[in-house]
Amino acid sequence: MKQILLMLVASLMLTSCYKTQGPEYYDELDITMTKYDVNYNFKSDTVVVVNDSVVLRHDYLTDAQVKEFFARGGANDKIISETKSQLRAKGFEVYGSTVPSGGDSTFIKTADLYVNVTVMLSETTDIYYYPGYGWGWGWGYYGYYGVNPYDNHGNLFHSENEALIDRSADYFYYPYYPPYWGGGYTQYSYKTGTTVIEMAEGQSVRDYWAWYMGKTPDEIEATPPDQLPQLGFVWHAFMESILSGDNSYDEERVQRGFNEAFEQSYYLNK
Amino acid sequence: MKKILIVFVFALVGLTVANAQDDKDFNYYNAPTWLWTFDYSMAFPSGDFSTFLDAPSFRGWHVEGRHFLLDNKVSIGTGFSWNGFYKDFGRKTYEVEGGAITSNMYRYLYVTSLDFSAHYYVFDNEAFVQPYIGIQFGPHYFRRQTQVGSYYIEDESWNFSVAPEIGLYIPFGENGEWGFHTNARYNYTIYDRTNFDGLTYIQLNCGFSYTY
Repeated sequence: MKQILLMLVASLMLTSCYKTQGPEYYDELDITMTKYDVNYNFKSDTVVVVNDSVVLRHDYLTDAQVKEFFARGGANDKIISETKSQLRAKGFEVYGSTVPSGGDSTFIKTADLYVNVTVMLSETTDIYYYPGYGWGWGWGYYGYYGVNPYDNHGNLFHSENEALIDRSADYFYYPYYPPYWGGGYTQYSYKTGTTVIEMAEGQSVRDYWAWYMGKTPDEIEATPPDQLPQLGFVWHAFMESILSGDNSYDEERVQRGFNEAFEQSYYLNK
Repeated sequence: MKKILIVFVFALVGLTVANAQDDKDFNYYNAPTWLWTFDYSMAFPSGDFSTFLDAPSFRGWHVEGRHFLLDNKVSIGTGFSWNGFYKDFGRKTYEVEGGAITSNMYRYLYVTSLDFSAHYYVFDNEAFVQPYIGIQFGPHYFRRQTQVGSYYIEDESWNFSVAPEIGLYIPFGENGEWGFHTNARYNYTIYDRTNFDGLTYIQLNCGFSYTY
């Protein structure tokens, strides 16, 4: 009886330190945020022009992958189509920025609001040391928390979850420790995908164009920041995910992000 | 035959009782000088803490050593414990000024404590049950974290805590070195950080004791 009690208590004490908490799946790390100008009256605006081309920023795509992104029916088209669809559901009159030959481009010059979509795809590789049994389990050491949102410059940017680490790239330097110690170094990489939708007030965009047109890049570069025309952003949506590599799963998450962003933005409803 | 059996049983019982009495009369009892406890620990947030995270913790442990003084009526000691609190708030939308955030949110709070203790034991040290009252105090290390999506806000601090407690231990058998131990503590920490005006939680420990 005594032995059983000792074993029971010892087991409870040990298992209490075992990590079973926190996010387990990629989609649990997804975040959707919106921000808007609380003083802006969205009710009076009805015409929106959406840039038909996503602004793509990336650090790992090959040229072929970029072409695939912008190919007809590719990610670019899906994202723009979804953006327009969501805006129409809010009651906006939505146009694209591409006008067919002979088409009427008046609405582009007179739109109430302009929308631009940016997609950022980034790959991050990190190496960290884990000391083996003891520290990493229940003591709140780095791996335990499973999330490192800071990049090498201390900026809040990266995301990592222990459950999501690609263990195929593990490196173990056992000579430094007895094998049973289990410590070593692990290398992992992950890809983040961020979609940003910006909505700017029409006249401010036209003012910017008027200033921009005819200037050389050097002239623009030389302009002091306080003399740059200010774009009147009235709404932003920000959707970030860690990419799983499973396209259909990732697309579902992007779709969910769009839905969440527009559900949050009840003030856009007509 | 029946009478013989009855007499035999009575004789056997009488002998056993007599032997037990003899054992007690001649067994010199060495009062222990040390008590060690090894416990599994549960904890329950209260006050401002339960506003931050209203879920009990079933992850924790507590180890303590006490030295008896004054005919084993009191002890002083030191202890070490760890408790991990956690709650998954699921995926929700949170309104913020001029916007909103939709994400899964997780909150964590880990407490690692080093305590000094003083206890008073109600009964003599030969009693079958040893109830006690006491107080623990010392520095506690708090690691508090709110994770939203892949981002988190973390706050780490050392704070002074005090914890009145009641408990008991029951030796296995007469003068047994090993025994059952349990206690309950009310932890109060001077914790004046981010919407907290003190941090309180109730800790229930259960495990075994060892005296020597």
